[in-house]
Amino acid sequence: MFSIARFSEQFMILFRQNKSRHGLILGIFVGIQLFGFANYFSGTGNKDIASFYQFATFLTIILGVMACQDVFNKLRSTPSGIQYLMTPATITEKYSAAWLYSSIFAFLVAQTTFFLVQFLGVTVGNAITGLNSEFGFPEWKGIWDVFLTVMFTHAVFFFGSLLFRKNPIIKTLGSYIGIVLLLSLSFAWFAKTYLINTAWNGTDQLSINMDGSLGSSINGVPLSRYLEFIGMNIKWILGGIALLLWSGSYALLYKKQI
Amino acid sequence: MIELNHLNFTYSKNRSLFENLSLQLEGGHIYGLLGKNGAGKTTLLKLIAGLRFPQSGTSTVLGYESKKRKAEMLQKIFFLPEEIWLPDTTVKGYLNMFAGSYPKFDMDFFHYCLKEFEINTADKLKSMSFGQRKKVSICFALATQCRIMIFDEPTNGLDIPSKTQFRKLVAEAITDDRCLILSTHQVRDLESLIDTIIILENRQVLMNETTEVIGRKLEFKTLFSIENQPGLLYSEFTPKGFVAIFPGKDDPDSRIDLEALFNLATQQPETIRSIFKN
Repeated sequence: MFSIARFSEQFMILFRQNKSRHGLILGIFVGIQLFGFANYFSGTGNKDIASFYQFATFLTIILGVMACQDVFNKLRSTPSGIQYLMTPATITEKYSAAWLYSSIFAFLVAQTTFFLVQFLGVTVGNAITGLNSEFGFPEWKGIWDVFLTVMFTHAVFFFGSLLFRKNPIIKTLGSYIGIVLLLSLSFAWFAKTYLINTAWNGTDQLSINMDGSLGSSINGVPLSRYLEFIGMNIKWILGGIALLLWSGSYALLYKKQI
Repeated sequence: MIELNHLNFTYSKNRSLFENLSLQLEGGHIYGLLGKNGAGKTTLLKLIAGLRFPQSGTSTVLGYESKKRKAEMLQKIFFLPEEIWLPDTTVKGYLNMFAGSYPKFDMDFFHYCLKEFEINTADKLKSMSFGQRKKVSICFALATQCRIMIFDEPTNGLDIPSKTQFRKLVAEAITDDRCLILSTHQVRDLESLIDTIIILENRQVLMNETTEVIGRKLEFKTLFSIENQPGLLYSEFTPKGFVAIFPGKDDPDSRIDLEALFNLATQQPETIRSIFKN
């Protein structure tokens, strides 16, 4: 039976164990962001404040990867693994606490910190320099896309953290790059064999527009519609993979032996 | 309290560690688990705690199947490994981090134990010696008031006065509804504490007997010479003379020499089986 009290206890254990390390990393990122503001308002650096959010995305992904590794770092050695597995809580409670802690830290904490620093930085910068700079906050869709990217990365590294005992980040990254390469090559082969050799035969017209983009249609349907369809499906596929990886992580934790 | 039934366990396909191993452990006892290097003492403890899963057979602790690691079971069992891990914090911080997970945690007893071991709660765990950190872990383990406590080589790293303190604290912590399993090579350290001996040999439990039964069935003597000693089962030379084992004279208070008993058991397992078959 799932117990909220035990779950909270597990969450707090993770928080107490990681707060110094994660606080320090967050502090370093805030420092880099402030350095960016100094450059921006002194006129020596990047003039596009909206690009700061790209930095926030990078920050969020890095923090997510680190949090995923840290929530299961006790399983990397026998004595700490025994402590972790013998702490009175079910695997579901331990898993949920690790999942929530790493997700909250990866997305919510990193993004909130970024927005707060951005807000304060621009406000103070404007007040000091007399400029009227915009805050450079992204649209909701941009935040949503970052959320999806971060959660997918979270799923990959969460799984890797349980799968690999030694150097999980490097091994997960290596496996991830390997799999992506393999899938890309497979897709290229599939596209060459089926789309170009077979479906492409049905192309009604293929032209180059004035702006240089490819203007074509297959069986009367514009190519852009196909690409949109593929793009939409890729999001679903990636979502499915993330769910599969989180389920796999649960199974790995459940079966973990020390 | 603990029931292992027809347990089979192997790390590799070529060599099985346990074959059809069965064992029952009851409350109110301090068990001493003995075995040669590689006999599987630590693995057996892990199987009991649910840290390892058997290939077949079952391990049940207080009615819970160990491998399911139910929270209710984990609240009643504490495993203290030989190599310990402690977080990067103070004793107080460690207490705040983990004590809440154990519903019966006895804060007063924890501080009492720390005092006995001369450990300060404000001290940083990382700056402590291995022995001091072990003491903190022992204090924590005893204060959890778990019904089953499993200590793997608990006296490793402890200095001589601390070993005495350890025996004293364990004797105070153990009650009729609790069971303590001590796995050790340092039998002299814990000889006075253990009341039941379990010997692992050749993938099986060779012996699971109380010291009272052992005292009745075996007699331990120290002799100047072992010539013409009828019934002699085993002897070994020590600076004090020969430690010899003879068939017992039904004396429950006979003093047992654990090292000699262990050597007899591993060298003559059939003799031990025939003596303790009932």
